[in-house]
Amino acid sequence: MTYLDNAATTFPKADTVLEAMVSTYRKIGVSPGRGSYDLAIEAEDLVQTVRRKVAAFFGGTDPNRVIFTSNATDALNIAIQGIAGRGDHVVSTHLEHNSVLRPLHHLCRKGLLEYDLVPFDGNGYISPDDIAVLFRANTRLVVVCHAANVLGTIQPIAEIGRICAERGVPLLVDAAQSAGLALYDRVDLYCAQDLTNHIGLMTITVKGIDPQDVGAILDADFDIQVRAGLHCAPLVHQHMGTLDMAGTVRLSPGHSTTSHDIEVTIKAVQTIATHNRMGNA
Amino acid sequence: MDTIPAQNSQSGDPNRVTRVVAGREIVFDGESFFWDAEDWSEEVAETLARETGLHELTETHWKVIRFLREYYFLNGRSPLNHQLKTGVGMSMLDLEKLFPEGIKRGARRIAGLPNPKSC
Repeated sequence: MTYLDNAATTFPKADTVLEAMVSTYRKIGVSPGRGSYDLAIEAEDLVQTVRRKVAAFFGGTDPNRVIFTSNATDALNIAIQGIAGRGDHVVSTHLEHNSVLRPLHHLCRKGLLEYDLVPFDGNGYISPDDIAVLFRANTRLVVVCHAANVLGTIQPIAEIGRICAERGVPLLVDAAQSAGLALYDRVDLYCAQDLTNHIGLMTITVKGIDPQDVGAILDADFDIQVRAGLHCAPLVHQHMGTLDMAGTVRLSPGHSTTSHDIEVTIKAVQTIATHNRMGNA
Repeated sequence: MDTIPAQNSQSGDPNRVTRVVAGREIVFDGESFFWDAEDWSEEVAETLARETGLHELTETHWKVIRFLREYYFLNGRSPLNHQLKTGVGMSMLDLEKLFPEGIKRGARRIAGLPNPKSC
């Protein structure tokens, strides 16, 4: 099995993660900090320890400002709907996932706020200047993905952060694809240090074959699992011209992916492309 | 004439398009997939196949179509990739080639199955 859908979720989970989860629930799976018995205190200690580690990882100064949510979609919805209110203006980008676009669209349709989306260039990058020119007196929030989930491009988040800070506008960063991959500077919270400006992710299309079919062939004929379609980011495909062809195929390796896995995948894609051309000849 | 041009339903919903195919009035979604798999007939399948450039459905095509429909009505969902491969007894690569528009937009659509939506 060659699993290349780590951009959706990591699989297989690392043994250390599984062992820690099972051990925690088995030994101290009680309500943290609500009771005065030892287990409740131990559980609360663990939560606080994790808060401190997460804050340190992202360069935060106050662990008490770290909150846990079910997933990134949940977190983004809470942040957007919690910060932007009636009459506010929000700036975001065409690179965003539906977890950003949908709440913005929903709030706009209800007449609660207005938003503008910044387009990306031919290489998949947002220009901070394009964000700056969209600021209004009532701009309350800027939402930008750190690494785009379709293209893998790392956005100039440090510069965008400076622009926002100068204007006193909060910057909400969707780091679902980058946390743990791109490095964060402890001083500058959102400063990506990856010199290639790209995370390990790529999207492809095979001419003449629906991306869903490419995914199905890779799965059943080659035991390779990938994500096919729009990847919950329809505006990216609108810009790339892949919306009408039902999107792309995304290959996203993870901690367990080997170079052999990548070689096998390249050969499989080559086989599909060649087979298709022969079929159409 | 096999088909009558598509018309949006009274609601104007672009994702509900009514079209007469082989004498049947059928509601399709925006990607021309059936809303109701019960609307299908063999004549409809032959007409839809011709629209994709497949002028004759061979026994191999019918084997695929029948498997898809039987599996769908028996299990309430379309077969998984591996189940489809095993069920029709051919590789997915060969299945892709068998229908001019491939597996999803060819085989599944001609078999009258609903759109396997994903985001």
